[in-house]
Amino acid sequence: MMSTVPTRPTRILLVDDHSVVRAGVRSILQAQADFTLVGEAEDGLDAVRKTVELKPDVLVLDLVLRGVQGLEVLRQVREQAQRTRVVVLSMHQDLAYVVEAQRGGALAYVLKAGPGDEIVKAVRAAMQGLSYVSPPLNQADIDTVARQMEGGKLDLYETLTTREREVCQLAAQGYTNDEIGGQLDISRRTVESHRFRMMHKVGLKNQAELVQFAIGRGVIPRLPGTRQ
Amino acid sequence: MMPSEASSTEPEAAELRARLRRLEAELVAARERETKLQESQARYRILAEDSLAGVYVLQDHKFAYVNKPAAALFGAEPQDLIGQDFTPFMLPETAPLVEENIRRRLAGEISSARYTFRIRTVQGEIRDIEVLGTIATFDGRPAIIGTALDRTGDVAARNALQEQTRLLELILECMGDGVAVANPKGEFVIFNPAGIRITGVGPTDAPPAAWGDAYGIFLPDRTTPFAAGDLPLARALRGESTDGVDMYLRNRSRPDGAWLRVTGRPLVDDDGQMHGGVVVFHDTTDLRHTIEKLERAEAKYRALVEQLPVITYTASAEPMGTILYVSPQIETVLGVAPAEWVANPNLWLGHLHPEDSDRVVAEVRHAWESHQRFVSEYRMITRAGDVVWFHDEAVVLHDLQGNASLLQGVMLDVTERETERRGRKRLQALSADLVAVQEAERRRLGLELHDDIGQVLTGLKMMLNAALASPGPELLARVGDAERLVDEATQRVRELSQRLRPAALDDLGLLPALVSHVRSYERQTKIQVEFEHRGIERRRFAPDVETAAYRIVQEALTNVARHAQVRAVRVRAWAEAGHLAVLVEDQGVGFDAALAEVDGATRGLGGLRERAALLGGQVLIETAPGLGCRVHVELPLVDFVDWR
Repeated sequence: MMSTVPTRPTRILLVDDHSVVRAGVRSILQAQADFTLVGEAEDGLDAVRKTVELKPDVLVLDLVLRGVQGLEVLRQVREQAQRTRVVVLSMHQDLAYVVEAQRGGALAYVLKAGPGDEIVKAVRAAMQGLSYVSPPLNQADIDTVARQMEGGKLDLYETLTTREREVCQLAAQGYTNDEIGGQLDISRRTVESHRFRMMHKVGLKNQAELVQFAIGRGVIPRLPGTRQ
Repeated sequence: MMPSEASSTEPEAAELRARLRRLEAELVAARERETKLQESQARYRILAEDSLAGVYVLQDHKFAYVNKPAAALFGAEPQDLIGQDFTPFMLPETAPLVEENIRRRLAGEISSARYTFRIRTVQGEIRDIEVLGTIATFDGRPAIIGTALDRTGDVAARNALQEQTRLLELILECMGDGVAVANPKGEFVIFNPAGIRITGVGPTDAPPAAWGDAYGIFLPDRTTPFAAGDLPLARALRGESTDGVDMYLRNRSRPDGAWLRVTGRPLVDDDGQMHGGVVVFHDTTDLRHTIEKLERAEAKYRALVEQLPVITYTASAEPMGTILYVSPQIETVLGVAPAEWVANPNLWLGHLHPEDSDRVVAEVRHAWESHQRFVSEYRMITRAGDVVWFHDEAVVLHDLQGNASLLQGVMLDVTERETERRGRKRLQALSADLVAVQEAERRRLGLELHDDIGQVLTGLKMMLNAALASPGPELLARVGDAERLVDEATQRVRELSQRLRPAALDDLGLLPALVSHVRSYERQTKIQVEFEHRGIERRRFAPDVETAAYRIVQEALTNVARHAQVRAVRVRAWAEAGHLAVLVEDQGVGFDAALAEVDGATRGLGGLRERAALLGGQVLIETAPGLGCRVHVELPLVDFVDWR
């Protein structure tokens, strides 16, 4: 052990709903001289209450809990005990969980299936304000997934059905509903319906906006009157 | 005798001469008279002969003399009549009158007579003759001399007038309409029996200004007295015409009141002379009661037709879709007003659901031609583009020739029932499918647990047994082996549970679950997924919707991996007003959509449709051999809770 510099021990609160898991983690943590386990909790509600009350340096938190979920505990701890650093202990290798945990403010993400000393490394990293993820997870993958989970920039035009795109093009070219119906061999009513939905989906209010949209999208040529 | 007197004395001789002179003078005078008389006779004769009037002389029952016009009255010439008995020319009914008049004149009771009687001409024609005859002497004997005129026309005219008057009186007497005529002074001159019966009062002595009170006349509101000056007869007396004025009458004779319809005309002759006014009126009480009854019945019927929760209509099948009447409820259901349906025969066809259109038109035509009852269920599209299910029943009405002329029917909006029925049917099919799928999955899980994890655990147990019996150094190695087996078992269990139910879907929501699935899909299939989304980040939807959306993407991607033969696929997910939509699109081999419908299960698309249908969602699959496949699913976000 490298506890050459006597410092104040790291105060840890352990939260997991499985007593077997808690016992295992407890034994690993207690083996560290500079760690002090100040308390344990087995559900989310208790976890939040004890964190606020005990103000531990590190909260070792299982993501999957009975009652209030781990992510919700994380959110409340961020609000009510800003100084407590959170090490998430999870059985989920799914990167989406890692992203959500990091978004929730967790500094470290440790897999339960990993080697026993991962939790110790994670707590120490957290104490230094560094993020940590246990292998085989890596931050680059996590960031990729995080980006995918960000607000999408899906092109609204893509949400149109093929029929709606056809109606969009013909309507932008100035054809009437009757003419469009004739060309597509569908009834005027159906054209009206498609046209309405199409305009609604891409957020267009009138013919002028439709023409602008269609030109901008390359659906119709830029110069009017040059349609083939 | 003279010679005996001449033999006497001289004085006797002188006296004789004087008598002779006197006699001579008398003879001269007589001769002169004779001459004068002859002249006079000739003069009168000429006068009579030339007269335009008929002149006749009757003597001893015979025509002693007739001039030409008189003979013409009898259809003869003078020479045919003179000396003839006139009796045969008399008609039996006039003969006594003529005899009597002749007798009285000859007897000196009267000197002349003027009268008309009827004769029969030589040709058998009946004529009326007016004569003015006087007693006279003809050839020294009593005779009747007179003039005669043909009065035939006059009599006919008078008779005709009399007949007309009689007829008119009869008509007035018998007719059902009341007729009243007043002279310019406002006095009633005609008031027929029907008029008396209808008014219950009859002619009154009251002046026009008091007629309203006299008869008890009110406006159609039955309370406001009718202004006397506006009464049709009063107006007729002022030269005005009125037509069909309705009034209500209530007086002592008609205490229950009566409805009258009155027409008035002024009586003005050809010269513009005002002779008064006439009104013709009839009792419309019964008619009015009938109309009121009809109106009440009609109102009741209309209320029934227009308030019933069904649409009633009258239509024709020629041309197809002609609507003559449709009750207003149709606007509530389809958003198109009755007037529009009636005005445009193409509207009905246009609003029929394309998939039902041909069938329904054929059904209508069949009912029309076979005169059978039309019963059908079909879909129509509302103005807003929604689908409505109708139960439609109609009878075919015939014209007098027995041809189909009208369809009279009712349409009932059965959308709810139909949706429910279809939903139930789908649910039944789906739950049957689910049970089958569940069983298959359990079987697979059972096998996997037994073959895989069971084997691992068995191996672990044997290994631990062996470790217990091992000496110190070997023990560590064996425990190390056992730990690897435990890791393997843990991994298997994790995969199994992930496949059963991705925890991320429950814990984190749709987007994180999709992102994770897409990553593992890419890893397993080596197919690159281009995933874009909008409006679903950091957002939770109803668990059913999230599960359905996730499974649909999962199934569609599995389908792509199995059949599409592509290196890349596009996945889109977005939330828009009222909808959560997902889209999986590939540029692969595609397939025949019609065939896929039949063996949809093998393509994984059948389950996809059912999942969407269960939530009231819609699936649009666009594909064709060689043209890739585009699966577009929309799940409603607002109504799903109510729907269950």
